[in-house]
Amino acid sequence: MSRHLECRGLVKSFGGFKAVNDMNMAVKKDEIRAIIGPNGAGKSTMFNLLTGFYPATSGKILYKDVDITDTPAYGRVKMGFSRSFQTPRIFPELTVRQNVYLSVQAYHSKPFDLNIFKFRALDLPGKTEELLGIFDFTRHADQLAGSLSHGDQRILEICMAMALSPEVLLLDEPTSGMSENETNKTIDLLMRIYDEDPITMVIIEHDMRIVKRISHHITVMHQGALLAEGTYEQVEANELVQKAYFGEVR
Amino acid sequence: MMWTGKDLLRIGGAALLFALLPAVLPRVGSSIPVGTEIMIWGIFATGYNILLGGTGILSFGHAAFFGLSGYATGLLLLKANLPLSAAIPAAVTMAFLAAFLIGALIIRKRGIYFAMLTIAFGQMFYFIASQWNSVTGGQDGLTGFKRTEFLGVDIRPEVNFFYLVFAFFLLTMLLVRGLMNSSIGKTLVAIRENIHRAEFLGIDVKKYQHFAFVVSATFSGLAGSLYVLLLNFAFPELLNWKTSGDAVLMSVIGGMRAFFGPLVGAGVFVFLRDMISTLTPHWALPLGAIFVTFVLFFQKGILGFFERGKEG
Repeated sequence: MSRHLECRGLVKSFGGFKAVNDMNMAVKKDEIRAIIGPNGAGKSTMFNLLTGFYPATSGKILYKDVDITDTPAYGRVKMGFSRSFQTPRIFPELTVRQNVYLSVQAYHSKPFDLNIFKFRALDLPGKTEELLGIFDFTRHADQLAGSLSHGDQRILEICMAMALSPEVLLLDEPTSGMSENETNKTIDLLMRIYDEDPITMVIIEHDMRIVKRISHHITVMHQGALLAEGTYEQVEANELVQKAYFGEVR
Repeated sequence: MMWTGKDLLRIGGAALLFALLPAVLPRVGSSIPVGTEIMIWGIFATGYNILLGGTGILSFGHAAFFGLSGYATGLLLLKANLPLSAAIPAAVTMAFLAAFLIGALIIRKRGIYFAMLTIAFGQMFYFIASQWNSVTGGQDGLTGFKRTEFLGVDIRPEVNFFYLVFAFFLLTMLLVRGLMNSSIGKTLVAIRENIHRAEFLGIDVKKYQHFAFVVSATFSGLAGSLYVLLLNFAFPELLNWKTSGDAVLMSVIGGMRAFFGPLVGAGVFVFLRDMISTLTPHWALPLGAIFVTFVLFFQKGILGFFERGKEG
């Protein structure tokens, strides 16, 4: 399947302001797509439309050629979507283990699922420990999630997103606010996950070194619309992009 | 399992304590109905706390379901001559249906807007009860019915009625604990802790919130039915939003994050109210002061203060 996730003529208005204005994008299966653009370009709004956090004003979102424009967020998750937020949305007053457990449980549950035998056979605690190990949280498992460092909270959120075994992982600035060390750790982790079992990833990122390192294709947004698209080299050479983006950042 | 060994031990311990009350209360200058009342408010508050402490939703409308079921019980006895074993389930079912419909209408609203709508709907029921003289007896309340027997057991004596309520009380404790231990209960906690994360775990948040609303209201209905039978009397104040406020008060005083919090709160509430009201008719004033003290200094309530943040 060439087009895994696609949007056509996507618009989101807040009052009279069009935060996303006639946006088109098509992401291939198992591609890592970076969305970049200056502040206020509409990247996060675009993200919130793709994940169903906001309803679209007009336009279409297609997933595996199925129109999901009106599918609510939780429904998209059940179809294989998973996301992180710019400020981590975790369960701060529960322990790290409970956070991960709830994700594992949610993935394996139907609505109002009370099938104790199924849950026992699935060994949800075992799956939880496995994830805690992969994400290096075993030592902090009994700590309250809210007491983790900002960087670790973000990694925990990615861990919870991965607990859903997603087909499409959407990360909103996964490394913002992280130290150099944490950034490297996070990117290494994402690459390890991808190399073991490739999935489609859409990532908003400001750090061009990370974009260069991980993304296959880049979408550049400007004033709510598509400015350019292509590989890192193509985008870097694009004059419009230099003017709108590289020009003012560098 | 639905219950851990520790749960059964603790619920069993509480049950034992309550089972002994009819022997103890009259000897300490109190009376058996006080114990009955504590259990009834315990059912109300413990059920209510599925919504408040469990799911993180504030409702000031649960008195409507408490009172609706109470009036229904009285009317079913009075006008339809139903036996209690049918009247109680029928009345509770009415509370369930009313909560289902009202919940479906208002659950999409968030936070303060939701709380305001629960007051509005609750007060609507309150005014119906206090104005519809021909059916509800209006401001004078509904009288003329008496509890007699339940499945062949004479429940007119206070001690017998105490043990009937005790059976419902024990059932409530086991059901609510079992629910909160289940994957559904854990999902409710996830919604309470972070509604957006819950949604992006693939949880249909509104459906679960509606569920919590209806289940808690059903327990309100059970409590209301029993309360009216305790008094042999139904009156409009049962449906006033202040009665809903009492459930909030009990949960906060006892500790809404601890399973036994609302029950402890109910006990403290009834005990203090009875004690202070013998001293002054303005019992609500000192009780209000106690409430403010808890909100300011003991946010986790009595049990929370001792248990220190443990999810009980």
